[in-house]
Amino acid sequence: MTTALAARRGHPTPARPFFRRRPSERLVFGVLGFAGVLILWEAVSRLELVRQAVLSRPTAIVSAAVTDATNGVIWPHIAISGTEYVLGFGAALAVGIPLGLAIGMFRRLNWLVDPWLSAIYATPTVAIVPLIIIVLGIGLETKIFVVFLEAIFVVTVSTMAGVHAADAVYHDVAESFRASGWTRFKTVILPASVPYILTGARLGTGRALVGVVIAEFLASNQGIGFYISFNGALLRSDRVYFGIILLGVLGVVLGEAMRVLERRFERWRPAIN
Amino acid sequence: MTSNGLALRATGVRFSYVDQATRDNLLAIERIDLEIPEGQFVAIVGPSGCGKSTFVKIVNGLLPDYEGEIDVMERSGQGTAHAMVFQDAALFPWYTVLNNVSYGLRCRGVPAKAAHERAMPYIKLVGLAGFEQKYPYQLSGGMQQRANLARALTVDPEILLMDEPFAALDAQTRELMQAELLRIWDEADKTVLFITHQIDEAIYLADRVLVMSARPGRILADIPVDLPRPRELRIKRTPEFTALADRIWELISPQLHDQDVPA
Repeated sequence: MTTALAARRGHPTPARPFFRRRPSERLVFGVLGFAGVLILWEAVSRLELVRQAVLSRPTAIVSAAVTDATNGVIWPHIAISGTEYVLGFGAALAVGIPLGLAIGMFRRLNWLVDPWLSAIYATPTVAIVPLIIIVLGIGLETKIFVVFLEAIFVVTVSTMAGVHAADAVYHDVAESFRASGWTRFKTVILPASVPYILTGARLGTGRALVGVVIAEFLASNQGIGFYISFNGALLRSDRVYFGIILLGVLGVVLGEAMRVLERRFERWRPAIN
Repeated sequence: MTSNGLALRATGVRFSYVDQATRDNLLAIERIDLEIPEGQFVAIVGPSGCGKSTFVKIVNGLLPDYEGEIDVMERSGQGTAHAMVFQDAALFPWYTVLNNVSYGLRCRGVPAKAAHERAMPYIKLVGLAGFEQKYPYQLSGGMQQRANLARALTVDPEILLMDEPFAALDAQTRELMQAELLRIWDEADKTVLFITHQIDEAIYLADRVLVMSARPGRILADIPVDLPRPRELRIKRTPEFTALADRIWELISPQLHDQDVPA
């Protein structure tokens, strides 16, 4: 007769080795996928399956990059795009954050500016560029303004959302201790908004980069965007790819920098005094 | 402890509001008349939605559009008339315990250093010594409510308003906090207006239990609790205690059925 109790064994969690292996496995596949496409690209190009001017190839792009970096062609373009970016995005933050806070706090101001904000958001910035050129001419100011226009909406709207995100109970606490309007702003509204402001800024970094490219395509003889469109017109696709890669890297670096900033500020809140 | 003075008098308090969705005018509180002598611990019990939280909000000045009259006796010191201990999660997550507890003083313009010094004894009183630099998320629910209590006590109010402060705690922590509250009340010597929907909590804590009707709220009964103090948690199992609880339950239970009827 068999025993009534069947032996049952649990599954010991294989947690450690399993989790330790996963990131490296992910890395291997990531590198494999990335390198695989590059090799395929190089092969297709070398076998002359597609015209060189259309496709270029990784080795040609690298050598074009090395050439333009060593002979100094690319640096002024990077410098000018960087300047436009920093000034335009900086202005978007400087105007967008206070504006978002004000709109969030004052209902009537919100109603007042809402049509304009929506209009700016709905209209493709590219369409406004000729108008901006008429007013500001072709120069740094125009490009900075385009970057500013591209970035300000997300910064403003996200900040505004942050103001509304403060739980009603925090306002009740401030009210019950008879906090002045200014104290309430510093101790409730601003701290509650910080994560939203940072998110808006991070989204803005991408938008600002789009602004840089649009402005340089349409109204510039310098900058990475100009470098791309100029070389495109000459069918120098290796340099076009290099410019695109530069923008991509810039975008990733800026986005990551904002993410680091976000993490850094996660715990930070303004002091009470 | 108790002198002849009144800490709070409410006369003919009535409150209605416009429902945002339906545009209907809803009567939340029909009428409340109430006198609380200085130093007394008064609990209000009633079914949820009966307007008891609304009433403390009115006393606290958060809802200015009420009818009737509320007098809060000002003590001749620099204390505030009243301070509120909120339900849960009312601590600012972006401030440490110390900054949360001294918040009321900072709102009144006390410099940071002085405010921190004045907050410390209350942090000790509620048993949070050593946790001054912790953030709310690092505290348990019970400890958060201790900090909440300390924040209200720090402004040295005449009346402590408590709006279901232990509602979100688990049963054991809740009992512990009830006993702690009595200890702190005894030391801090305050008038307390305590809102709860738990009958045993009301009886255990209070000198007097006011039973409220379902909405629109009014006071159905004013029941003195003459159980001896200091009270231990054991007292909840005495026949006197259960008799009181039964009496209050009989007043409240018919009210619960009314809640199913649309207002």
